[in-house]
Amino acid sequence: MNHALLPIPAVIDTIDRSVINNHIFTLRPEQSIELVPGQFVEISIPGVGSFPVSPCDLVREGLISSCIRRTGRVTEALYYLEEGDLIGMRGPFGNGFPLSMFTGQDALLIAGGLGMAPMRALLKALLDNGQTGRIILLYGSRQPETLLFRDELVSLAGHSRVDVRFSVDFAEILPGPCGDVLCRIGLVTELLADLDFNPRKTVSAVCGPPALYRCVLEELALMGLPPAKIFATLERRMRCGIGECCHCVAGGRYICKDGPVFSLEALRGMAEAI
Amino acid sequence: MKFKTPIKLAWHRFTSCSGCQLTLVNCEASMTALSAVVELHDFALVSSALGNSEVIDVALVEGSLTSPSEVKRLLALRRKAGLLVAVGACALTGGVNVMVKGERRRAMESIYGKPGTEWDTFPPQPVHHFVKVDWQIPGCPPEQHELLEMIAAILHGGWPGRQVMPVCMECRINENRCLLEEDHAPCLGPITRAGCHALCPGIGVPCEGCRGVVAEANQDELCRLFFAAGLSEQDIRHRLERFGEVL
Amino acid sequence: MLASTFPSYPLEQVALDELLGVIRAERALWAPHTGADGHCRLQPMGEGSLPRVAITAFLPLKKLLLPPREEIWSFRSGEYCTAQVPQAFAVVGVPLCDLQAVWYLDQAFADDLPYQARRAQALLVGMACVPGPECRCDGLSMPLAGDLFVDQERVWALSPAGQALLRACGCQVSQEMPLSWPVAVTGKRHALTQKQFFSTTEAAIWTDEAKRCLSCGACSAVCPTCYCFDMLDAAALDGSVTRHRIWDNCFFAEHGKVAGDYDFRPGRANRLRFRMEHKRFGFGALRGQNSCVGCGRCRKVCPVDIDLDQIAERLDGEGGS
Repeated sequence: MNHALLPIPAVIDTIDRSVINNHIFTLRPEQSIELVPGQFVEISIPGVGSFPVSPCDLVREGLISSCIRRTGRVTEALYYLEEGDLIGMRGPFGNGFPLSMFTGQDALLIAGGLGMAPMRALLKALLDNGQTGRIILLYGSRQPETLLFRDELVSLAGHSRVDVRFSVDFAEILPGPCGDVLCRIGLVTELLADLDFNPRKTVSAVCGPPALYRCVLEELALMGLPPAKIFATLERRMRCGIGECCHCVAGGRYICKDGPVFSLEALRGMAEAI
Repeated sequence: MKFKTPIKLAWHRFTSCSGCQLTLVNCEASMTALSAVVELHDFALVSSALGNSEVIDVALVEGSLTSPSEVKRLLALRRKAGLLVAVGACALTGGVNVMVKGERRRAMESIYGKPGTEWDTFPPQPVHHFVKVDWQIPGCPPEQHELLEMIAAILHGGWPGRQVMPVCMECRINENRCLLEEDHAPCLGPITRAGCHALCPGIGVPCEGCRGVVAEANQDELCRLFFAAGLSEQDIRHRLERFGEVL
Repeated sequence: MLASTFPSYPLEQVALDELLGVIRAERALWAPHTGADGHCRLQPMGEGSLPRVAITAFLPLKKLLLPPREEIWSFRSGEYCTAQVPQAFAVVGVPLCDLQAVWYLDQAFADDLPYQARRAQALLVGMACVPGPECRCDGLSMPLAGDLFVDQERVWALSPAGQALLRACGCQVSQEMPLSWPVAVTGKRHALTQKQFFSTTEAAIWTDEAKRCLSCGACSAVCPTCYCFDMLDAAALDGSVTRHRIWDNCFFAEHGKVAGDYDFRPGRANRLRFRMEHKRFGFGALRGQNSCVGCGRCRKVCPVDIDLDQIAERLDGEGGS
């Protein structure tokens, strides 16, 4: 039995500060941690506390990158740390996205806000293994300036297999900073309206704030995607990560251990999950 | 928040009894360790020679605000302090000072005689009515470990974590007999923020609510229990308002 | 697997005092002790005399197996260090319902190193009890943990460790016998199916009971199978940090909150229902397993007399259909 509550020391390798309050921290744990996209780690700032975060990239040479929003007491403390500082890390926790299900299928990825971070890890995994057909990414953010990984996603639009579309809640000028990528003002779900895809041959993954799940998951099912092929990754206050402390429970399941990725089929049987 | 060690620490008292700063000064066992990481600036209870520094990293503020001159001093402190921490019930909610109700001029005269009517004062106000408060430490007085752990957490670049729960939880953990249940005493444990390790109920004194009200408090039901135990509406009101929290 | 019988020996064959003496020689002994205020608490016994019957202590065995505040690790000079393994101890005079609760905690914390480290150091000796009016235990509702069980006439070995102790005291031939569960228990837990429960989430009783609930958390604090916890760092002035696991409680406003203060269980009715869901149906791998052992502690401590069995009874009447 390993001590899943004991962190291993991790050094802050680099900090990408290009989007305000959504810095990307690349960490180097003393022992490498293997992660599937959608799994998460607990990051610990000794003396302050810890928080769960899902990496925004594949683990490369032992480095784990996460886009961490400055949103609470502990993340606030992280923003005062610098390259070379020592923190702690526990994990991997949770199930992650079922990558094998995307093989031979088209992928419809829908992200809202910070949900783009774990979605980017999934997108990279799908691009890397090359076994997925067409990849459609619908990404909604508050405004063009807060689109995460914008330049990278814009450059992906030239990729023959990838179709990227943005939506923003409000903007002064469009498409302006989004290059050739379609960018609409409105909700990310509105991008679904004129989307041409084959629901019988598509697996979908959704990641975003609670409000996104309530409107998008059943809509995808109405469009003809089987509920077993629609996946959502749920956000909760995961404290232990190992299915014990009870903070993240929904529908009788530990989101941290049985999830955080669930199919719509499973979610329908989990009261109050979304 | 990131400061060079030793951090420049100041303690300012406004309208209060000095009990909060005594709590820190009484941490004898930690004084050596504290002096290694903290440089005291304004702290009149410790030394009058510390003077009035230009820059303060962390300012601890005790007491409620009751006069324009106090507000002026508070604003000046906020301008030069990196962080400002309100300590104790008076600073957080006004504390026991707000018990004086009714016409202020008459109250002043009854206590101080004629000169009292001339003084420029106003009803006691909590610190956050005037300046941004970065952190709060509740209690009358606060707990020693909360003060020390906060200073230690600041050295790590953040605020300490704390569990928000009612005194009842700590009281049950200590296996105390329940004063509310067994004595029908007007104990405020169910609605009061824990952290004191249920000190008062532990020695048979019903909780007075000095640490403020928890978010999940069910005052209506607690009042109903007090009524059933024979307390008058006025008794209950006095009890609930003792530490300035308006319910 | 719900074992119904265990090897047992008549008390003439084993001298109880000798048996307790052997245990005492190797372990720190804890037992229920009734204080001057009439409350019973699990206390270290030192040289004091040991009980001959079980008493339901104010806090159950989780007080020792999952302490209210337990060091998980410390951080010194850039290193994370595990907490020290506790000393061997024994608890004598545990009621059977509390041994069931330990079985439940054993399952819930099967992969938890600090819990298992403490658990491995614990020897649990159950004793027959005198059930009170609040008792609703049921020997068939759950397996039980523990090492020995003693009533007025016999002693049972519940585990290999218990068996070894009895052998060491000279016990030779064993007879498989069912444990002597209390027979005087009158109250029964009201049966409720998951279907009934989830079809009555909007029932008026939830808001009615939530209006009375003080959110004080006493019921969960004293519950032998409530195990919510949080983890908090305490920094010291020398730069070291200690992380503690501390009891948490699903009645508190912070429990269901996520970053940005979004609350997945807003309101007292939601939280009351959440506790009921855990007691009746469990979470995760324990889903479907009732976790109420019927010890009656929650009913005894609730300042407003909320009773989950009464709620179940009313839900049964209202919904289900």
